[in-house]
Amino acid sequence: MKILIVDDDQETCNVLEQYLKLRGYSATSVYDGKSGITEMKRNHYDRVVLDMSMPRSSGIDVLNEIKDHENEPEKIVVYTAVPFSKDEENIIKEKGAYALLSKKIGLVELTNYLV
Amino acid sequence: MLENLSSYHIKILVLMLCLGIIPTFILSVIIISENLTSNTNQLEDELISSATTFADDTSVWLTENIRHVKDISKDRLIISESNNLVQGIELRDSFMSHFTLESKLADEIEKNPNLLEIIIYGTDGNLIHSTNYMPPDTSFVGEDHFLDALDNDYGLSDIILSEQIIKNKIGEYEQNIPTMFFSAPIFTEIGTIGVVSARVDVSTMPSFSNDEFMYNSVDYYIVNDDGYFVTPPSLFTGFSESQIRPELKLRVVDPDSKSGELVEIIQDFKNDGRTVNLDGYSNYQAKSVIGSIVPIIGSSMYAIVEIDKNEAFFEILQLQIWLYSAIGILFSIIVTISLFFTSNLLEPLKKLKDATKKVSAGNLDVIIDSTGKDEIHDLSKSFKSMIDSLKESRSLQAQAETKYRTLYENSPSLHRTVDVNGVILDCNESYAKRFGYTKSEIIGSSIFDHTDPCNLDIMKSVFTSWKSTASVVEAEIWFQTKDGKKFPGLISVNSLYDKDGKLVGSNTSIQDISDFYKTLEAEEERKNVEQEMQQIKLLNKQKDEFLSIISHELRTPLIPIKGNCEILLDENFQDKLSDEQRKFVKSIISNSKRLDILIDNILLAQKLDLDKYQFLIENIGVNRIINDLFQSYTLLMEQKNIKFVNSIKNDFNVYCDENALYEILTNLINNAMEFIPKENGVIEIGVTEKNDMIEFFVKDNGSGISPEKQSRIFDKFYQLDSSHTRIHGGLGLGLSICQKLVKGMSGTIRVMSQEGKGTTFYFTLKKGEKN
Repeated sequence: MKILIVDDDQETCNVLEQYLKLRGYSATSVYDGKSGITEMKRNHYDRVVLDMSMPRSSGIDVLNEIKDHENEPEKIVVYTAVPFSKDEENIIKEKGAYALLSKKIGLVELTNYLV
Repeated sequence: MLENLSSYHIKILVLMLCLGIIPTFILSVIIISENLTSNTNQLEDELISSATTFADDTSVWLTENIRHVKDISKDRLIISESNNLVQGIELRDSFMSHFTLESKLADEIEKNPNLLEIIIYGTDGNLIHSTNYMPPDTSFVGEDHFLDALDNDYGLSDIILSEQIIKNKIGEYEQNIPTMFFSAPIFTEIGTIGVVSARVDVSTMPSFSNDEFMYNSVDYYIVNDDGYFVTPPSLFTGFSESQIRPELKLRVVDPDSKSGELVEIIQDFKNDGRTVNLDGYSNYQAKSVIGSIVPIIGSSMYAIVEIDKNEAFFEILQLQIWLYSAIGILFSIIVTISLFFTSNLLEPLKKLKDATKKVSAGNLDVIIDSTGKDEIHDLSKSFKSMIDSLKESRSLQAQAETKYRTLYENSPSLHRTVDVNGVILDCNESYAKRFGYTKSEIIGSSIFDHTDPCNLDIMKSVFTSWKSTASVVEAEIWFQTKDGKKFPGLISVNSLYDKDGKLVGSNTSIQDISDFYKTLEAEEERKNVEQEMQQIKLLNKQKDEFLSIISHELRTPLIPIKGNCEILLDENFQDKLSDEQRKFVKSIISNSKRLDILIDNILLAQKLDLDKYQFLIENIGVNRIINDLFQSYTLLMEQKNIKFVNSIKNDFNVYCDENALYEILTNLINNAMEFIPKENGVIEIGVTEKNDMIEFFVKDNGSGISPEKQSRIFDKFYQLDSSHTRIHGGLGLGLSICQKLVKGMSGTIRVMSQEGKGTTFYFTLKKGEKN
């Protein structure tokens, strides 16, 4: 299962990538929204872990761009440090996100949502 | 009454008279003059006709008598006998001749009784024969009739009174009767030898018949051309011998008397030969008469018929009297009616005039009768309404004055009345009070005494400017009260003038603007505060932004920290880490989570502050939430040896945001955990039902909070004790977040605490319906 991690924080990407690889998944990281879109359009990914606030296209832009694209991944899990309300969660889900998760939750829990 | 007549009375009276009297008068004059003319004409006609008849009759009588005398003078016997006597024949023959003549002339007298005596004179004027034995005058020398007879065909004498012996049945007596001589010459072949004169009784003259006259005073007579009577005037009774005798003549008009008109008229007539209508001349008695004079043909005499003018015009006079009486009566009637009407008409006017006098004297309490419909009453009405308006305006004026006085006296503004020297003549109570003087102290003092000495120059210039322009555009002056306090005021001036328009003073109004100054200061202060507030708001915003960034940035490194720890705890690393190492890793995770919560709280508090938190209110069962809570805390409570008590017996539903309720309870529990004792700590959660609200409580047996600190515990970042910060973690956001969340769900939060015994937090939520 190919997983793409889109987050501007490289450390976060690294630890996620390592953990997912440890769990036996193929994981790749890009560090901004624009690269995320490009990567997703170029290669098909089964799962995407997407940060919201990023330079060069935010998570919302990524969702908008990739929705209904032929390479649209099966699950996009939004993983963000910014607190969100129920409404915001609904909006993001409408835009194609599978789940909206706070960065408070650990890697184990995150992986549960991806699988 | 007459002294009450106004000029209007007189004017109207004159008008009425003009309308009434003058036409009547003119009419009367016309009537009278017409009557007069017609009467005069008629009378004149009658007079002329009568006088003509009279003259003609007389002329006929004269002619007859002349003819008679002429016949006598032509008688042959008389001529021859007379000639004999003139020739101077012998006495016997003379006697015979006288006898013959006597007989012959007696026959003649017999034939014509008018002839009283016949005398024959010689051409020298000496008597030759007379039928009278004792003729009164024997010589005719120089007599007019004698000379006329010699020169002309005949001659007539003037009237002469003659003694005549009247014989009748009673006897004989003498009477003076008017007579006149008719003389005719005696011709023979050798020429005129003498004159025959017959004395004729004038009374035999044909009398004037006045039957056709209706007048009594008809006078008629005959005069000669020298203006002497030939016959006595019919109305003149005093025609006596004594008057006549000296000259045997009577002139018709006494030359010494005032009037000589008739003589002149006769003279004029003689000169011009005109027939004259004698209209209104003075006659021999200097009496005003009208008459007619007609020459008697064959003589130098004139027949005159005249009538007393008064009688002639008696009718006209009567008419005149009647008309003038009528005019007089009319005049009286008109005057009376005029006076009545004018009085009646002018009475209201007079009253109105009196009323206007009173009004002009300032007395408005006049009674005006304005009933009626004529113009004067209209005028009265107008005048009455004018007075009413005047009264009203006077009352308004009085009211206004009182009002002004009251305003002046009671006005909160400061008023003073000053003269042109700046001396205060009056002031109101407010003024006296503000300046701290009594009124009597103020009156007579100078306005400059009440001016702040620092402002004296300005005050003086304002005062000088007012004196020259009579106006002061609101000037700001600082004043000084009796106790030396100063205050600012705005001066406005209402100038006063005398009746000649000369400036005499002013009512000055001073508006104390101390409050304005205070307000200005306050406003400035308020602006400063506002600025500071803005500054604080800006700082707050910057702080919020800062917090937001910090929160995000703080959380981000936590992810790899926790993640790496999780990797270390992953089963793949099970063999590679000792139990102790694993414990350290877990501790890192646990502390990372604590940090997460802190960050969460910061972010939540910020969201609440910015009103960005969206409450999702739902009808939720309390038990489920509490059970979840207990489940998640059980392990921790056990670890910390805390007795965690759920005292909720019944299930309730509440309207709330589930996350918020969870957050509140978590915060309160976490808070309690911080302060409970290490041993025997108890935390109890419960609910009570209060009307339509559900009250939750979280109770601990901790150290408690002092009353003064209780009031501040809900403040953001408030720490119960600075020293606690070290002992107890947290940023001081928990209770502030709780309060905001409770408030956001329309509930209230409170605290009850006793130091050393414990603290209970209560919060309410709206009760929901049970499913």
